[in-house]
Amino acid sequence: MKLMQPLTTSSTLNADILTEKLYDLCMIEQLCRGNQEKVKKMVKVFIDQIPQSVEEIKLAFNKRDFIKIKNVAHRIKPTLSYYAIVKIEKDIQLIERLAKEELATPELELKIKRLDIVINKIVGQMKKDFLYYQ
Amino acid sequence: MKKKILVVDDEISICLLLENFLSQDYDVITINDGHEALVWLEGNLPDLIISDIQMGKMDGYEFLTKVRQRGFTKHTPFIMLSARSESKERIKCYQLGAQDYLTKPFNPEELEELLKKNLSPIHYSLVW
Repeated sequence: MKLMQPLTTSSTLNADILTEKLYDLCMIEQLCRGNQEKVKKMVKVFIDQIPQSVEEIKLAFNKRDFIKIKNVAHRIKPTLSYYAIVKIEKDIQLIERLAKEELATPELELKIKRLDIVINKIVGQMKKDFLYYQ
Repeated sequence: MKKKILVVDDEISICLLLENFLSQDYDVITINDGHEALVWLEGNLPDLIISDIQMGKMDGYEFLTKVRQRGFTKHTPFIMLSARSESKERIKCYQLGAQDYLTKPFNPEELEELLKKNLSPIHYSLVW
């Protein structure tokens, strides 16, 4: 079985993704009614949970477990919207759709790699923006 | 006394988000799967239930069906909250007994209105 190769940024991402801010907490702040402690909790939950979910997707891809990929992608899709992560909005939709079609295409692999890189980047940005969390 | 809302969703961030948003006006209980929620319902009666459809151990359809089969929760207002936006999903939920259906990511104002409508229907109808 061919396992997912180590991630590289050059082939999967545009350069702007490496520099620009990839999330926005406007909607989270609205839903937390401006309470900054609650916003911080939401950031912490993102940092704790979403990379784990991406790992689940990567493992599932290596096992060709398409149901798992589809379910996890579906589960995290709204969360990405709440944090206004628009860069991978279409990618997560495509991951869910390709997994539903049970196609282990290079495109699916590429989208999963892109998801992984962007989420890691966002977690880094969040940790930098919310220094108290580190 | 605040009204009690049970939120059932296997995505922790969604549970926390709903708790953060609703806790100002309601007592919010969050549970991550349908089985556990049914166990909780054996000893508790919420004023309203919000549930996701796609969950790991028991999906929202089965959870809603079981909620409606139980005497104490047969008429408890139930709002389905899902990332699925197809009308066939909505219809299925209405047929199973859900009062309303909201698509994720939801508009907070819309959720507030649905809660008012379902928790104080007479008052709500008098307002307009």
